[in-house]
Amino acid sequence: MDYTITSKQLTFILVGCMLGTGIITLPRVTTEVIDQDAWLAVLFGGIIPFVSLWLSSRIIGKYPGLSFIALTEKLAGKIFGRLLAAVFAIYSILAAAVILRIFLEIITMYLLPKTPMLVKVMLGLGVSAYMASSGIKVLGRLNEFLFYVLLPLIFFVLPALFAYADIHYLMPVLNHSINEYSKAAITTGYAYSGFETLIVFGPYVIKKKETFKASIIALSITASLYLFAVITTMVVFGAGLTQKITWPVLRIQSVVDIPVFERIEFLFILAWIGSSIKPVCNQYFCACLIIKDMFGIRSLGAVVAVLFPIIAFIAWYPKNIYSTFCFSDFVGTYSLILGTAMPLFLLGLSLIRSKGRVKDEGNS
Amino acid sequence: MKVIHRRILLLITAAASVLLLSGCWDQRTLDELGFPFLLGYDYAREEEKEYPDDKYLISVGAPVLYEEAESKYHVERTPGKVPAQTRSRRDAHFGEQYILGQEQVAIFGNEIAERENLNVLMDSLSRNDKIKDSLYMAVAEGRAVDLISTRVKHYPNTGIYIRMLLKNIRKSNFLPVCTLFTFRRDVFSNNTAPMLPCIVQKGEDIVLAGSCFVSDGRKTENIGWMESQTAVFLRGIKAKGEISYDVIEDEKVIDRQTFSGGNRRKVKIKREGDKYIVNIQIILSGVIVEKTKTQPLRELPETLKLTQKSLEDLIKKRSQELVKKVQEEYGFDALNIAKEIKAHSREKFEKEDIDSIIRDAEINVDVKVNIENTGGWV
Repeated sequence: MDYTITSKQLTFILVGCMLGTGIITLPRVTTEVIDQDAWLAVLFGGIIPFVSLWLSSRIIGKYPGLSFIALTEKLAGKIFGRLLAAVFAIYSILAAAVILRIFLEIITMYLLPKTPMLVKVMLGLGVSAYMASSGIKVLGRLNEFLFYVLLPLIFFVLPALFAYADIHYLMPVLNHSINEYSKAAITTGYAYSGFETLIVFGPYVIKKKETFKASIIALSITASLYLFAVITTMVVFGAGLTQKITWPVLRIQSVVDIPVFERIEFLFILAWIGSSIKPVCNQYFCACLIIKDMFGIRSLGAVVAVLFPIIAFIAWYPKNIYSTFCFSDFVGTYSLILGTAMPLFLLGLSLIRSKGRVKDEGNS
Repeated sequence: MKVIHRRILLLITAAASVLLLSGCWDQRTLDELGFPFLLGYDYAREEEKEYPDDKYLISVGAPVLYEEAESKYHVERTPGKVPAQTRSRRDAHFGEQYILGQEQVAIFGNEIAERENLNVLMDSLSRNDKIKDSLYMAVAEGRAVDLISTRVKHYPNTGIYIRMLLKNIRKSNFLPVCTLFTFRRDVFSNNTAPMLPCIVQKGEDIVLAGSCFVSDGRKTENIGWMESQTAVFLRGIKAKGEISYDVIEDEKVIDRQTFSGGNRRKVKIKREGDKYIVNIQIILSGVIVEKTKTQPLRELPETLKLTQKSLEDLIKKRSQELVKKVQEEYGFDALNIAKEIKAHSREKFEKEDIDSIIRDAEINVDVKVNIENTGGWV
């Protein structure tokens, strides 16, 4: 299997990792903290991912040609390095499971209310397993293709914007304390979960120098789409109503009647299914790749098959939507810590090693 | 993984999808579905109750889709302790499964709208994501069930008639339209009183009778057609319609004209100490579609100024009267200026604060009329 991707494909893989179900709930979770300033939280929330992407790019740039597992083993030793990789693999498994579950909660609410959760989990994960077993190149192409499927979804909210948008709902600007903005930035940071996968996907980029640029483009695309979703929801619903709606970005489409189509939110969901399954595929692949390298397994498909029941069980386990949201918050926190601590730690180790080497060379 | 393995996995996934999704848990047969158009909320009368603790009567008006059916419209009345309970009770005597996403209009009986909190009453509607936010809302002058049961002349389905009536009033009568979305936005984001159209049965027809405000979830007294139009202007609900008025010069009526056009508003907020000064400018733009006097074209510019002024004075007078009523009688934000006040201030306001500001504010109204032409006849 060819394990190389272009920097453009890396951009779309990262966008695919970050942009999933979070966009549907983001306006609600941010307005709960800072009301009409929610859109600012989207910008502040991008700071942690930006730092993480910069750190990860530095690490990848310093050790070109080394995969994530080889990198951790080289810098932290075989045992500790594998432990670090295992922490990442566990995160990817949990992330794949929770994203799949939130995605299925929306499908349950709008399309398949009576179908048992386990059946939906199996079907969703089956598609993801197929994609994850296809390799990084196919995953890159899929992410790119499905990104263009997502773009026209923007037009679905335009009727509501034209009919009901009111700029007053964004005013007054900067009306909260620094504490509240920090809290909102962390909450929004959860929505960017997926940025940390750069350290796994980055080593496979053909032109290593373009890794950071590609990741920043991915972050900018994600932030722009989040900003669009939050501002659109805010100017139509206002902060008070946004906080009352579980899926505000979906609900916004039912405020106007569209001749012929009438209920466009169902069309939106059909198109959105394709793009929201991407992070599940990407995280699934990420976990498989790490485990495959860690144990020296030759077949990626075998790892995919082994992880299937584990991810399925974790995705099926939450008893209700509220446990799912708690689980999602936990994975979001895990992602922020992992995304910054892992590259920072590896970079630290790398600096210590290079200083040690310089010292050794000086002594000799 | 070999290509053949991937193909097998793909085949299994596709087969499972087809098998599991097309014929199992969520399958529905079109023949077994009912499509409710109208939803009515009333208190249940003694003779309508199935159990002693039944409180509400929820009526549903739905089209009958069987070709051989005698009537093309059916009204289902079901009592219940709470509105959502009627859904399962209805299934006990009505076989078809109602598709709630097809509901078009919710009508509240006058008594229930006055006494119950509409936010609580509509809780089951708000929680259901399948119910669209563009669902129209209205208040009936009597009971909603009587209105829903009315067979309107030439219409096989009263639901279609009422939906069209409510949908188009804003385009022709300067009257308010209220949907589930605008209602909830007024309550939860604006802290303002939603404005609902009132409909009434007159003989074999259902007609618009004005409107009412909903404060703290409960309906206030009805306001007439003219006051409703003025409220639409003051609230800045973009609408279209016609107004007939006298053109007055030196306190004498010199012409009678009909203006046809649209409205918008601008609001400016100033704060002096604890007092808010609210300046509302109503802007009307349109054409004269009727006038009793004909004039040569060269005289029209001068007459137009007089025409505009007469209409401006009329709307201003009506607006000032309504503003006075809002401040002195209602004491809540019926003018939808809370969002501007909130946008202007850095303080956090609850509904009580907004109501207090409205009562004490200095509210000035200015009207500007722009007549674009007087039609194709000089």
